[in-house]
Amino acid sequence: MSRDELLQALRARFPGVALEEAPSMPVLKPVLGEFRPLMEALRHEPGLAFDYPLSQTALDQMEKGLIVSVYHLFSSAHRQSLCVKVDLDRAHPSIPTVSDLWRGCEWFERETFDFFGVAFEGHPDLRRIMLTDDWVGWPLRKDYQDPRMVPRPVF
Amino acid sequence: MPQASPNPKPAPDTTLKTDEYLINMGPQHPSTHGVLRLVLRLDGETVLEVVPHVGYIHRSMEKMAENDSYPQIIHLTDRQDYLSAMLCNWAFCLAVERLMGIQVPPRAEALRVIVGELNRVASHLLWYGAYGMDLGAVTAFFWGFREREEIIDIFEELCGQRLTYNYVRIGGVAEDIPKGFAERVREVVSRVRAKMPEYHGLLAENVIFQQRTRGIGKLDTATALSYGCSGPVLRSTGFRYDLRKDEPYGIYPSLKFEVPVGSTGDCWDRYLVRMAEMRESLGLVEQALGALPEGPVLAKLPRVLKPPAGEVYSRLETARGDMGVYLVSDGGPKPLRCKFRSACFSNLSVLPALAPGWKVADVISILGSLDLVIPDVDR
Repeated sequence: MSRDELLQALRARFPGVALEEAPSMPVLKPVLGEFRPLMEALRHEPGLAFDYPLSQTALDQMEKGLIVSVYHLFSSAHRQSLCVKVDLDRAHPSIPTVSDLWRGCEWFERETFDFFGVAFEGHPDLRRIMLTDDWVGWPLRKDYQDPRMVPRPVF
Repeated sequence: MPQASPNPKPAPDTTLKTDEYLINMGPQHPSTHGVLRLVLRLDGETVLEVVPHVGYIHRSMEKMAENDSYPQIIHLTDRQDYLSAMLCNWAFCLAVERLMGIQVPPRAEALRVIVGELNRVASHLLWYGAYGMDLGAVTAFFWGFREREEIIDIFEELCGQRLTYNYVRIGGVAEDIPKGFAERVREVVSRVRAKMPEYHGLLAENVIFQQRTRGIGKLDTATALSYGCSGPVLRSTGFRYDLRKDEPYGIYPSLKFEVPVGSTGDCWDRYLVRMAEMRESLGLVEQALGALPEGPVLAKLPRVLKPPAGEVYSRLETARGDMGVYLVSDGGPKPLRCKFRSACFSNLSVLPALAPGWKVADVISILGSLDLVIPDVDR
């Protein structure tokens, strides 16, 4: 399957979902309500069959009041990659888990929870993964402050 | 070659009444190759459950990267997978080059292949030695380190460092090669190649080694894909997928090499795949040396790199698998977000699916065959 065929297939299958063409891979931007059925379709439908999780992470867009959950997927059958982005409310970021669709996402989501405080509903083991369990705050958010952080000198 | 029969998974003994108990393997355990803690739930010697605990050496590299300029981030990648640091440097530089549309000079591309593939061989040699030692064959450790040392010496001559090179730079490489470099590399390549049958004979023709690897820790392709496994761990399941061939970068499309795959996905196959990969890498070094073009080694770039606003997800095949770099730029001199997707993180996450049902000693064998570098997991 070529990149153009993938774009066509995505447009035909998800007509209402925003689709962008980016240099490295196409980007699907569903709203939160259509996210879980869309991911199930991406994983299981033979025409798409995205069976390999490349990464899952988040972006903090503080000025817009958003945290964006970002998924990079790969299809071993069609040899194509795809990015999925979902906007979440920064005050209470919460999204259904996809760790049952891609087992590797279980740890990716734990990492995102650890650093951004995104709650993954239905996750089997949502604990901090890198930091200690009693850590306070979400370090990769842009407004995170820690008394031990030293500002870089400006020359 | 004598062949031990593949080990069947031991059937649980139901005649004895035993209690389950927990045991901590690590964080200071010789076979975890770093600070990794595994909590094993055992019934007798049989593993019922493995829970890995990571993060002991988390150094917040992604947060640091958000406060550094792009060239300043390269040295952080050295300290992730420190056994194939050249390839980690390359992975990050490739992402920035794709984001900015930088054209790398042909000589630099060839040099990257030379140092990258040499680093892959050095990394696999260390793994060969350490895996042998995990399973009780100490000689393998000395033999593997002997030839690895010569490759490390080449890197030291090239860039002054033995592990953390900071050699691959955005737009090329840091320095041109010193005098006599090509001859030295050819000599080392031919010496390592001549030793390969010896290496293989030492471990693979040993019945104990075969008993401890054949049939142990079988991984099927669907599970490996679902967990995001990559590199030799994924290829050992029979799935032929190498980013150098399938999502090519650099000058790899013009080079000739095979992608070795296994068939059953057990520890034995992971061993065979890595050994075959070393032979291919040696061939790649020779090809790149044979066609080394003249010219500059670093593209002309502005003093302060400011990639256009946008994002890129780029992938590169390191010695351990797929290293992804997700860069988001707002047009400024520092990235808005820099996510490193490390191969070891995903390769370790499959362990809870692999180990149950095997004995404690087999966990050592499985863990060793995954070839983990813990700083790469923790970042």
